[in-house]
Amino acid sequence: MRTIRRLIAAVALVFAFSGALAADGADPAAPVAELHDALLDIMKRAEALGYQGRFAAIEPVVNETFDFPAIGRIVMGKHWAGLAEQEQKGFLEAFARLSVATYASRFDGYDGESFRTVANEKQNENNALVKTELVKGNGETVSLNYQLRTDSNGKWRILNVVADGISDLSLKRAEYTSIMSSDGYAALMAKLNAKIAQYEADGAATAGSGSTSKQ
Amino acid sequence: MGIHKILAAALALSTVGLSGCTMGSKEDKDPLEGVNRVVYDVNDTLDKALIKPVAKVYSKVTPKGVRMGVTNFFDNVSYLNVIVNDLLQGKFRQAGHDTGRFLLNSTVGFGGLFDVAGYSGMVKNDEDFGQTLGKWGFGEGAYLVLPIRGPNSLRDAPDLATSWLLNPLTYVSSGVTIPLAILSGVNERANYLEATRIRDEAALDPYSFTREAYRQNREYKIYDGNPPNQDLEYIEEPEGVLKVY
Repeated sequence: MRTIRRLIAAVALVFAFSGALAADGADPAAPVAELHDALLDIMKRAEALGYQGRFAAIEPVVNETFDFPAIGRIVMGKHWAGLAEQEQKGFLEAFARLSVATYASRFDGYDGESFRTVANEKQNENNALVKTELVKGNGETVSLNYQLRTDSNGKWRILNVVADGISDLSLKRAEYTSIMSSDGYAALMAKLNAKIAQYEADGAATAGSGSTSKQ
Repeated sequence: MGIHKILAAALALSTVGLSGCTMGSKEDKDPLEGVNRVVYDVNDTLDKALIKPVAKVYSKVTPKGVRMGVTNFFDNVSYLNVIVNDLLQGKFRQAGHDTGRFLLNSTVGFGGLFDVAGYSGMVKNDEDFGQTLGKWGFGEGAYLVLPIRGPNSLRDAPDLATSWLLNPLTYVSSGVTIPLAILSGVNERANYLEATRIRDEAALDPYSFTREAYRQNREYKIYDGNPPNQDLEYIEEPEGVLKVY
């Protein structure tokens, strides 16, 4: 009798536990790991892929792991609400493209780098902070802290990267709102597209140099 | 006597300028933006025309060990400022540590050329009067772009005076200090070549990029790497205070 009760209790415990795990859902560290794996991949195949190849390889991963619609709204600050729907869409597309282009341009070679997760802190149901380090070949480290938030589907996505204490989101917000205030939407779009074109031109020019100097 | 006047003026300037400023109020306020942008552009032109090319040549021509030695020397000679500000912030143990570091490098380290303390595992600390004022609760005051020196603020500017006073080189004849100051400037510019290259490559608006990076760096330093409000809840869209670390 006692054994059966214990067995029932044990089974109940297992179900309760697995229920809790299921409710916990995905791990916020997952998108970060996915991003890092993809970056290491393009780094190792940098020369073979070339800039265009790296761009194509990393684009789906970056778009999935980052929540660009949310980031774009934050980065525009008070100017977002004043934009027409077409303008908002245009901006988000250019912004996402620029982010991918930046990664494709920067991670252009492999020199023994690796990523190391330092901490994974869930601050509440919807916000988390994943602290990692990029360890360069010579031992130097760059601290990369990712702030994640669940999107409308409950999926964890990156909202911000804080590199060595500098918040990328804040930097971009300061720049973009400043440009919007003084020069307006068209000027901002022109600058975004010019930057993307510049990365493409640099990528075509340095095909084959394969160094990680840009990190 | 003159020294006391300068110190008094520096302190008066800092408190007058900062009265009424709340802790950490930055957002994107930049009351002197007009003037700042002009100075920024002048600095940028001067940098591109003269300072950066000189720094690049210096960087190429000077062996890494020599550049390291120069950096160490100037870091050491300005370390008294760190010790004093440790004390002002109540970081007594750190002040003791930093005094030891200064003495070790000045003696065994041949007048600061060698960072012997660093090799022995003694961490180099970074404190200045602007950080002290920040610790005491003063906000930035106003963002400033100073000629040649670049990003600064009403709160951080007094450190220029106080650190100058606490630098032994100040009391050496100007025939020596001026060339040394130039060397220090070129060396420092050389150390920042990579960082400015990244900024020039990435920034859409270098002026506000520099301002934001400067502010974040100051917050980081004032709180010694642990700025408050690391909660994501502070990210509000589309308006609201953006405090993201």
